[in-house]
Parts: sequence; structure tokens; C-alpha cells
Amino acid sequence: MRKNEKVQDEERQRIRLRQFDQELVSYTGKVVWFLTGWFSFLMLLLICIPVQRVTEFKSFLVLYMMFSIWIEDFFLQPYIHMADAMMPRKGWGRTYERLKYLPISKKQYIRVRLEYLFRYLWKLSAAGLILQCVFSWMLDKQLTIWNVVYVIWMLLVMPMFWGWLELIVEDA
Amino acid sequence: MQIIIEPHGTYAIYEQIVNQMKNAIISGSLVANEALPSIRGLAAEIGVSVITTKRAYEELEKEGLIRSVANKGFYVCDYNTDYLHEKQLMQLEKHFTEVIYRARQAGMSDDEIREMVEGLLG
Amino acid sequence: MSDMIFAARQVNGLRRGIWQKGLRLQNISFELPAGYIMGIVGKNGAGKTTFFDYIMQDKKCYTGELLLEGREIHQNHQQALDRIGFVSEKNRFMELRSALQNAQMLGRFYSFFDKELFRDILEKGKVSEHKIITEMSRGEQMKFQLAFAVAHKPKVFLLDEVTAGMDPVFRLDFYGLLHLLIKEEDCSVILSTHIEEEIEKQLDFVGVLEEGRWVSFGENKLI
Repeated sequence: MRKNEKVQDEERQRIRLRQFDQELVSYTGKVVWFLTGWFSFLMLLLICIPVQRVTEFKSFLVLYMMFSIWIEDFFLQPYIHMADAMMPRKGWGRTYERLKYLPISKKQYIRVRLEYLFRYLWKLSAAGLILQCVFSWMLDKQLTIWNVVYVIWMLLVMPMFWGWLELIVEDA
Repeated sequence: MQIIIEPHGTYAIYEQIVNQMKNAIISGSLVANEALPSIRGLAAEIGVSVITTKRAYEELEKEGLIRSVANKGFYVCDYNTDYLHEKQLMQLEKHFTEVIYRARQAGMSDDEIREMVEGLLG
Repeated sequence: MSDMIFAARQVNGLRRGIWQKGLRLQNISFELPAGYIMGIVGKNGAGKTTFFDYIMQDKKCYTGELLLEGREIHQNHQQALDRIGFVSEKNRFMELRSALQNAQMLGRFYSFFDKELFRDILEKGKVSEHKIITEMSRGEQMKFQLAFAVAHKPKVFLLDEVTAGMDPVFRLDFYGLLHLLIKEEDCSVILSTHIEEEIEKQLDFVGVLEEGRWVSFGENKLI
């Protein structure tokens, strides 16, 4: 029964974190959401280029890498920083500092934020997948597994990875 | 009763408590079988550690001035009334000795002294 | 051991990385029963705050054991934190929010949090519950942290140099509160201080730290 208790306890921690986050985020400057939206839009634009043509635009891949870091960064800002997210490095900004002496495990803290990120990214990937497939078919009459892999990698895996990295590194 | 502690006095804090309580018992401001404040209550009241009052009470118990009743606390011993009485008798004896000495100095004989006393007792 | 609310057994700090400065604590052992006030005394820099770090940090950075009610605190650190009340300048709160908002936002993480008790203690300390944390004086911030800690009914209070630089009235009220807290003998206090008078009068147990080394521990003999 110990394990069951632990699972219930972890779920309770997550529920409380989500309630806390709702109150936390209500204080965020709206600029951050705008930036997230803006970069998502740019990424969707770039994902219209079918994977088979990407080699012609290698510089876009670099852009993608940067975007994937920025997207997760801007998306997580309201949860990682308490002050107005446009001035995040102002000393007393980090949420984790306020939670580390409370009875919440770092694991649950990270998991809840990654859940938020994932919920956003899978929708983004779904949109991107549609765009990639449509354009790949329209321009080259071609649709392979690589189209799918490419989108999943760029719009889901990479930003999730960077997000996870950013959360792990806090107060390592 | 008020216990006043001198933090940098010559006596340790618990000794000061012991002395002050002892005086209170002997002088009668703490009467026999009176309930004393609990160890923690007293510590909170005077603003000292619990260990201090505990030690003071243990010392007073050792000297037979107070006794502990299980689950109830500390009480002043009956002992003190006898002690008090004894002390009073000792004081009176001292007074008597002095009066007798003065009387003899004034030239009274032992019989004259006894007559005077019995007359006063009358 | 079962009636000891807090104990340390042969606690030695692990060798930290080169980039991490700070004292390594050595050879800490003590037992603290419920209902008493223990003081960790030593010069500034002797390692008092470091000891609290060992307890509050997420990762176990020492060998040996730190036991809260018989259980090693890092076996289930969250559960341990649920029962520890920590007051220190290191403890960060939502600085731009009021005392009450902090209690509302952060108190929920505890399995037990009495908001009315929090407000009551704050009121007794004459601190407005609507005051923003950054606008509070050090004394008010300490009172706020104390109220917050008391509200979740911990088994042990860790108070890091709370009275440093405070006036005698503050100290009187502070120790008055501590006596109230330990009255029922269901919790204890571990505090760090370097103020002579406090050490003499108020501490039941004293542990001495010298440059990270645990020099002695026992009932307060300075009385």
C-alpha cells in the first residue's frame, strides 16, 4: 500500500502545483504569450517547406533550432519566473526559489510544467503535420514517413528536450 | 509570587530560583500544600529554559521543601509549617535570652523574673 | 530513540565540488527530545546556516543520518519538509505579494495549514496581513515567516538567527512564542544564535560548532 500512497501523494502535489500556477500566471505580462504565439507562427511558416527540400535551405534548420529553444523558453517563462517575464533576470524572479523549501518534489514540479509544454506542443505539431503533408503533396506529390518524423522532431521532441533541460538545470 | 532573575548575577539562574522559592516558603508567602506553577509554566513566565526550572524544582524537592505528585505537578510540602514553627521558636528563644540577660543586668533575681512573666501571662 | 523528535547520527558533509565554496560539517551527533529548545552556537561562519542547509536541501549531501521522528529526512524529503518549519533569511517567499496572499498561495502545499492561526499570530505580532513582503522590515519579515511556519504545525522548527539585530522587545515576544509552541511537548525548536544572554537563559540544549566541527552537545550548563 506504500506505493499506492506515494502515487496518490504525488498526484496531490501536482494538483496543488496546478492551482498555484493558475494564480502565479495571472500576474504575468501579456507580452510573453504574444511572443510565444509569434514564434509558433514563424515555425509553422517554416514547416511548410517539405522535408525533401530542406537541404536547399540549411540555414533554416539553424533557425529552427533557435526557435525551438525560444518557444519553450517563452512558453515556460510565466511558470519559471514570477516577475514580469520581460525582465526575467531581475534577482528575485525564479519560482523554484520559492518552492524549494515547501513539501513539493522537484520531480513533480518539473513534470507539471512539462505537461503544460507538451499540451501546447502537440497541438502545434498537429498543425505543423497538416501543413507539412499538404505542402509536400502539393509541391512534390510525395508523402513519406520522413515528413512525419521531421515535424515531430522539430516541433515536439526538440522543444520538449530544451524545456526539460531548462527545468533540470534550475538549482542543480 | 514574583521571581526576578539576574542573568549575570553571581548565582546560577536555577540557584536564584531555588533561593527565592525557599525564602517564599519559609516566610510563608507560599503556604503548605499550595500548588506551584508547572515547570513549563514557570519557565515561560520568567523567560528561562525549561531545563533551568526543572533543575530548580529538582533541587527544592531534594531539600524536601516541595514534592511532586504524578500527573498533577508540584506542591509545597507540609514540612514547612514545622520548619517555620521551629524557626519561630528559635527566634523567640533568642528574644527570651536577651530579655533575661537585660533583666539580670537590671538587677532582677530569677524569682522576680518568673513573677513578672506569670503576672503578664495572667 | 523513539521519543526523540530530532536526532543526528554521525553527520559528515560530503566533499563538495571545487566550484562550491562553503564549510564541510564534521561529526555532528545529537538527540533532541520533544518539547525543548536547542541552540546551535558558534561564531559567524562556524557552520550554523550550513547545518540548516543540510536539512533543507533536496539532495542528501552528507553521510550519516538526520532523523525526524525516527525517519531519515532524505528518504522522503517532501514528507520531512511538511513537518519542518523553517525561518531564515534564505527562505524566499513571493516578495511582491502580501503576507496573506503568500499564505494563500504557498500554504496549500502543506498537508495541514491553519490560515486563521497564521492571521492570528501575525495580528499579535502587529504585522498587517496585507503588507507586501518587500515593504516589511526585517523584524516583520521574521514574524511573517514564524506565523507561516507555526500555521502548518511542524514537528521541529529550524530558526536561523532570527533574533540577530532585533531589539529586546522582539526577543521577549519571540521566546514567549517559542515557550507556547513547545508547551504541549509535541514539537521542538532548533535555533542558531550567538547572543550570550539568550544562550544562558533560554536554551535547554546547546550544540557548539567550531569551523564546521561539532565540538560538544548537552544540557545547557551555563545556567
